[in-house]
Amino acid sequence: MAGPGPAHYGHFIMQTALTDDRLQQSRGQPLPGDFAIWVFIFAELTVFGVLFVAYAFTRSAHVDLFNASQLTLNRTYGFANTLLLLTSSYFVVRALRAIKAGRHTACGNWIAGALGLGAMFLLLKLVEFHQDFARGITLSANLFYMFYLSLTFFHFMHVAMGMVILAVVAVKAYAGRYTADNHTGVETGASYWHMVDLVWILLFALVYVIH
Amino acid sequence: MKNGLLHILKPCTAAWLSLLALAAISFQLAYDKPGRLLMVFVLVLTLLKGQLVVDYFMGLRHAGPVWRATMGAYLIAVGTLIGIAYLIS
Repeated sequence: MAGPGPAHYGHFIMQTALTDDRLQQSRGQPLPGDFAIWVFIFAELTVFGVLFVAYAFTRSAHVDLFNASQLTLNRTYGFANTLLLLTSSYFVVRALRAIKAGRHTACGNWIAGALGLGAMFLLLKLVEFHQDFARGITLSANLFYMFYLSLTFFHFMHVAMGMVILAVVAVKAYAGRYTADNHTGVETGASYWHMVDLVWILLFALVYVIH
Repeated sequence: MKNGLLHILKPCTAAWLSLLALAAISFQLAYDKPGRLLMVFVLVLTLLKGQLVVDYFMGLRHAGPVWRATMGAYLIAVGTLIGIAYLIS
Protein backbone atom coordinates (compact mmCIF):
# COMPACT_ATOMS: atom_id res chain seq x y z
CA MET A 1 0.00 0.00 0.00
CA ALA A 2 1.63 3.21 -1.19
CA GLY A 3 1.51 6.32 1.09
CA PRO A 4 0.95 9.88 -0.06
CA GLY A 5 3.51 11.03 -2.60
CA PRO A 6 5.53 14.27 -2.80
CA ALA A 7 2.81 15.86 -4.92
CA HIS A 8 0.33 15.35 -2.07
CA TYR A 9 2.62 17.08 0.45
CA GLY A 10 3.32 19.87 -2.02
CA HIS A 11 -0.41 20.44 -2.42
CA PHE A 12 -0.85 20.43 1.37
CA ILE A 13 1.93 23.02 1.86
CA MET A 14 0.45 25.22 -0.88
CA GLN A 15 -3.03 25.03 0.70
CA THR A 16 -1.60 25.92 4.14
CA ALA A 17 0.30 28.90 2.70
CA LEU A 18 -2.83 30.13 0.94
CA THR A 19 -4.87 29.80 4.15
CA ASP A 20 -2.23 31.75 6.12
CA ASP A 21 -2.22 34.43 3.42
CA ARG A 22 -6.03 34.76 3.54
CA LEU A 23 -5.91 34.86 7.35
CA GLN A 24 -3.29 37.63 7.21
CA GLN A 25 -5.43 39.59 4.73
CA SER A 26 -8.49 39.32 6.98
CA ARG A 27 -6.42 40.50 9.96
CA GLY A 28 -5.03 43.41 7.93
CA GLN A 29 -1.50 44.73 7.89
CA PRO A 30 0.39 45.29 11.14
CA LEU A 31 0.68 48.81 12.53
CA PRO A 32 3.33 50.83 10.68
CA GLY A 33 6.63 51.29 12.51
CA ASP A 34 7.80 50.02 15.85
CA PHE A 35 4.96 48.70 18.03
CA ALA A 36 6.38 50.55 21.05
CA ILE A 37 5.61 53.92 19.42
CA TRP A 38 1.96 52.87 19.14
CA VAL A 39 1.79 52.15 22.87
CA PHE A 40 3.14 55.67 23.36
CA ILE A 41 0.73 57.12 20.77
CA PHE A 42 -2.34 55.54 22.40
CA ALA A 43 -1.14 56.72 25.82
CA GLU A 44 -0.65 60.27 24.53
CA LEU A 45 -4.01 60.30 22.76
CA THR A 46 -5.68 59.16 26.00
CA VAL A 47 -4.05 61.99 27.97
CA PHE A 48 -5.07 64.61 25.39
CA GLY A 49 -8.56 63.07 25.15
CA VAL A 50 -9.08 63.38 28.91
CA LEU A 51 -7.87 67.01 28.82
CA PHE A 52 -10.20 67.85 25.91
CA VAL A 53 -13.19 66.34 27.71
CA ALA A 54 -12.20 68.15 30.93
CA TYR A 55 -12.09 71.44 28.93
CA ALA A 56 -15.54 70.77 27.46
CA PHE A 57 -17.20 69.94 30.80
CA THR A 58 -15.51 72.87 32.58
CA ARG A 59 -16.79 75.12 29.80
CA SER A 60 -20.35 73.87 30.34
CA ALA A 61 -20.30 75.58 33.77
CA HIS A 62 -18.69 78.80 32.46
CA VAL A 63 -20.11 79.23 28.95
CA ASP A 64 -20.08 83.04 28.84
CA LEU A 65 -16.54 83.26 30.18
CA PHE A 66 -15.25 80.67 27.68
CA ASN A 67 -17.05 82.24 24.70
CA ALA A 68 -15.86 85.75 25.56
CA SER A 69 -12.27 84.65 26.17
CA GLN A 70 -12.21 82.51 23.02
CA LEU A 71 -13.03 85.61 20.95
CA THR A 72 -9.80 87.26 22.15
CA LEU A 73 -7.64 84.54 20.55
CA ASN A 74 -6.06 85.08 17.15
CA ARG A 75 -7.97 82.50 15.06
CA THR A 76 -5.94 83.34 11.94
CA TYR A 77 -2.80 82.07 13.72
CA GLY A 78 -4.67 78.92 14.70
CA PHE A 79 -5.80 78.34 11.13
CA ALA A 80 -2.33 79.05 9.69
CA ASN A 81 -0.82 76.57 12.15
CA THR A 82 -3.41 73.99 11.09
CA LEU A 83 -2.39 74.39 7.44
CA LEU A 84 1.29 74.13 8.40
CA LEU A 85 0.86 70.92 10.39
CA LEU A 86 -1.45 69.27 7.84
CA THR A 87 1.02 70.01 5.03
CA SER A 88 3.95 68.90 7.16
CA SER A 89 2.16 65.60 7.82
CA TYR A 90 1.54 65.22 4.09
CA PHE A 91 5.26 65.74 3.42
CA VAL A 92 6.02 62.93 5.87
CA VAL A 93 3.60 60.65 3.99
CA ARG A 94 5.50 61.47 0.78
CA ALA A 95 8.79 60.73 2.55
CA LEU A 96 7.51 57.27 3.43
CA ARG A 97 6.39 56.67 -0.14
CA ALA A 98 9.83 57.74 -1.36
CA ILE A 99 11.72 55.34 0.89
CA LYS A 100 9.35 52.51 -0.03
CA ALA A 101 10.44 53.18 -3.62
CA GLY A 102 14.10 53.04 -2.51
CA ARG A 103 14.71 56.81 -2.95
CA HIS A 104 16.47 57.69 0.31
CA THR A 105 17.57 61.21 -0.73
CA ALA A 106 14.00 62.10 -1.74
CA CYS A 107 12.86 60.69 1.60
CA GLY A 108 15.33 62.98 3.40
CA ASN A 109 14.19 65.97 1.33
CA TRP A 110 10.50 65.43 2.14
CA ILE A 111 11.30 65.11 5.85
CA ALA A 112 13.47 68.24 5.70
CA GLY A 113 10.46 70.04 4.21
CA ALA A 114 8.25 68.70 7.00
CA LEU A 115 10.80 69.92 9.56
CA GLY A 116 10.78 73.39 7.97
CA LEU A 117 6.99 73.58 8.29
CA GLY A 118 7.21 72.26 11.86
CA ALA A 119 9.69 75.03 12.66
CA MET A 120 7.30 77.59 11.18
CA PHE A 121 4.53 76.17 13.40
CA LEU A 122 6.69 76.59 16.51
CA LEU A 123 7.75 80.09 15.48
CA LEU A 124 4.17 81.20 14.85
CA LYS A 125 3.06 79.69 18.17
CA LEU A 126 5.87 81.55 19.98
CA VAL A 127 4.74 84.82 18.35
CA GLU A 128 1.18 84.05 19.46
CA PHE A 129 2.29 83.24 23.03
CA HIS A 130 4.32 86.47 23.12
CA GLN A 131 1.32 88.54 21.99
CA ASP A 132 -0.94 86.71 24.45
CA PHE A 133 1.37 87.44 27.40
CA ALA A 134 1.68 91.08 26.30
CA ARG A 135 -2.14 91.34 26.48
CA GLY A 136 -2.19 89.92 30.01
CA ILE A 137 -3.24 86.39 29.06
CA THR A 138 -1.66 84.14 31.67
CA LEU A 139 -2.40 80.79 33.32
CA SER A 140 -4.03 82.55 36.25
CA ALA A 141 -6.05 85.08 34.21
CA ASN A 142 -9.12 82.82 34.03
CA LEU A 143 -10.20 79.18 33.54
CA PHE A 144 -10.33 79.39 29.74
CA TYR A 145 -6.84 80.86 29.44
CA MET A 146 -5.54 78.24 31.89
CA PHE A 147 -6.84 75.48 29.58
CA TYR A 148 -5.79 77.30 26.40
CA LEU A 149 -2.21 77.92 27.51
CA SER A 150 -1.79 74.48 29.12
CA LEU A 151 -3.18 72.54 26.15
CA THR A 152 -1.37 74.51 23.46
CA PHE A 153 1.95 74.50 25.34
CA PHE A 154 1.67 70.76 26.02
CA HIS A 155 1.06 70.26 22.31
CA PHE A 156 3.93 72.66 21.49
CA MET A 157 6.29 70.39 23.42
CA HIS A 158 5.05 67.39 21.43
CA VAL A 159 5.76 69.21 18.17
CA ALA A 160 9.28 70.01 19.41
CA MET A 161 9.84 66.36 20.36
CA GLY A 162 8.45 65.21 17.02
CA MET A 163 10.91 67.50 15.24
CA VAL A 164 13.82 65.93 17.11
CA ILE A 165 12.61 62.47 16.01
CA LEU A 166 12.13 63.61 12.40
CA ALA A 167 15.58 65.27 12.38
CA VAL A 168 17.18 61.95 13.37
CA VAL A 169 15.15 60.15 10.65
CA ALA A 170 16.23 62.76 8.05
CA VAL A 171 19.92 62.40 8.92
CA LYS A 172 19.69 58.61 8.68
CA ALA A 173 17.75 58.86 5.40
CA TYR A 174 20.39 61.11 3.82
CA ALA A 175 23.07 58.69 5.06
CA GLY A 176 21.32 55.88 3.21
CA ARG A 177 20.54 53.95 6.39
CA TYR A 178 16.98 53.20 5.18
CA THR A 179 16.03 51.11 2.17
CA ALA A 180 12.85 49.97 0.44
CA ASP A 181 12.91 46.83 2.62
CA ASN A 182 14.19 48.39 5.83
CA HIS A 183 12.43 51.62 6.80
CA THR A 184 10.80 50.90 10.16
CA GLY A 185 12.50 54.02 11.57
CA VAL A 186 10.77 56.24 8.99
CA GLU A 187 7.39 54.65 9.75
CA THR A 188 7.93 55.07 13.50
CA GLY A 189 8.83 58.76 13.21
CA ALA A 190 5.97 59.34 10.75
CA SER A 191 3.40 57.72 13.06
CA TYR A 192 4.42 59.99 15.93
CA TRP A 193 4.26 63.10 13.72
CA HIS A 194 0.78 62.21 12.47
CA MET A 195 -0.36 61.77 16.08
CA VAL A 196 0.83 65.33 16.78
CA ASP A 197 -1.17 66.47 13.73
CA LEU A 198 -4.28 64.55 14.85
CA VAL A 199 -4.16 66.13 18.31
CA TRP A 200 -3.84 69.62 16.80
CA ILE A 201 -6.92 69.04 14.61
CA LEU A 202 -8.98 68.33 17.75
CA LEU A 203 -7.30 71.15 19.70
CA PHE A 204 -7.86 73.75 16.97
CA ALA A 205 -11.56 72.91 16.74
CA LEU A 206 -12.06 72.91 20.49
CA VAL A 207 -10.10 76.01 21.50
CA TYR A 208 -10.36 78.23 18.42
CA VAL A 209 -13.56 77.26 16.58
CA ILE A 210 -16.39 75.62 18.53
CA HIS A 211 -18.38 78.08 20.59
CA MET B 1 -16.83 61.23 -11.52
CA LYS B 2 -14.49 58.46 -12.64
CA ASN B 3 -12.19 60.99 -14.28
CA GLY B 4 -12.61 63.54 -11.50
CA LEU B 5 -9.71 65.26 -9.78
CA LEU B 6 -9.76 62.94 -6.76
CA HIS B 7 -9.34 59.91 -9.05
CA ILE B 8 -6.28 61.42 -10.75
CA LEU B 9 -4.51 62.33 -7.50
CA LYS B 10 -2.78 59.89 -5.19
CA PRO B 11 -5.10 58.99 -2.26
CA CYS B 12 -2.78 60.74 0.22
CA THR B 13 -2.75 63.92 -1.91
CA ALA B 14 -6.55 63.84 -2.22
CA ALA B 15 -6.76 63.38 1.58
CA TRP B 16 -4.39 66.31 2.17
CA LEU B 17 -6.40 68.64 -0.12
CA SER B 18 -9.63 67.50 1.54
CA LEU B 19 -8.13 68.24 4.95
CA LEU B 20 -7.10 71.74 3.87
CA ALA B 21 -10.61 72.39 2.53
CA LEU B 22 -12.28 71.08 5.71
CA ALA B 23 -9.92 73.18 7.86
CA ALA B 24 -10.84 76.27 5.82
CA ILE B 25 -14.56 75.56 6.33
CA SER B 26 -14.03 75.11 10.09
CA PHE B 27 -12.05 78.37 10.25
CA GLN B 28 -14.83 80.23 8.47
CA LEU B 29 -17.42 78.80 10.87
CA ALA B 30 -15.40 80.12 13.84
CA TYR B 31 -16.78 83.59 13.03
CA ASP B 32 -20.44 82.50 12.95
CA LYS B 33 -22.82 83.11 15.81
CA PRO B 34 -22.77 80.38 18.50
CA GLY B 35 -25.36 77.65 18.08
CA ARG B 36 -25.88 73.97 18.78
CA LEU B 37 -26.24 73.08 15.11
CA LEU B 38 -22.98 74.88 14.34
CA MET B 39 -21.25 73.07 17.21
CA VAL B 40 -22.43 69.66 16.00
CA PHE B 41 -21.43 70.47 12.41
CA VAL B 42 -17.91 71.62 13.37
CA LEU B 43 -17.51 68.57 15.62
CA VAL B 44 -18.50 66.23 12.77
CA LEU B 45 -16.07 68.04 10.42
CA THR B 46 -13.33 67.65 13.03
CA LEU B 47 -13.95 63.93 13.46
CA LEU B 48 -13.96 63.54 9.67
CA LYS B 49 -10.59 65.29 9.51
CA GLY B 50 -9.30 63.04 12.27
CA GLN B 51 -10.44 59.92 10.43
CA LEU B 52 -8.73 61.12 7.22
CA VAL B 53 -5.45 61.56 9.12
CA VAL B 54 -5.83 58.12 10.72
CA ASP B 55 -6.66 56.36 7.44
CA TYR B 56 -4.47 58.10 4.88
CA PHE B 57 -1.61 59.68 6.85
CA MET B 58 -1.12 57.18 9.67
CA GLY B 59 -1.83 54.40 7.18
CA LEU B 60 -4.37 52.56 9.32
CA ARG B 61 -6.67 52.13 6.32
CA HIS B 62 -5.02 48.77 5.68
CA ALA B 63 -4.32 47.88 9.31
CA GLY B 64 -6.12 45.15 11.22
CA PRO B 65 -9.77 45.71 12.22
CA VAL B 66 -8.85 45.85 15.90
CA TRP B 67 -6.52 48.82 15.40
CA ARG B 68 -8.95 50.62 13.11
CA ALA B 69 -11.77 50.03 15.60
CA THR B 70 -9.60 51.24 18.49
CA MET B 71 -8.75 54.50 16.74
CA GLY B 72 -12.33 54.94 15.52
CA ALA B 73 -13.65 54.33 19.06
CA TYR B 74 -11.23 56.94 20.41
CA LEU B 75 -12.45 59.62 18.00
CA ILE B 76 -16.11 58.76 18.58
CA ALA B 77 -15.72 58.64 22.37
CA VAL B 78 -13.88 61.98 22.59
CA GLY B 79 -16.25 63.59 20.06
CA THR B 80 -19.37 62.29 21.81
CA LEU B 81 -18.26 63.40 25.27
CA ILE B 82 -17.33 66.87 23.97
CA GLY B 83 -20.69 67.03 22.18
CA ILE B 84 -22.58 66.07 25.35
CA ALA B 85 -20.68 68.68 27.38
CA TYR B 86 -21.60 71.40 24.86
CA LEU B 87 -25.23 70.29 24.58
CA ILE B 88 -25.85 70.33 28.36
CA SER B 89 -24.30 73.79 28.75
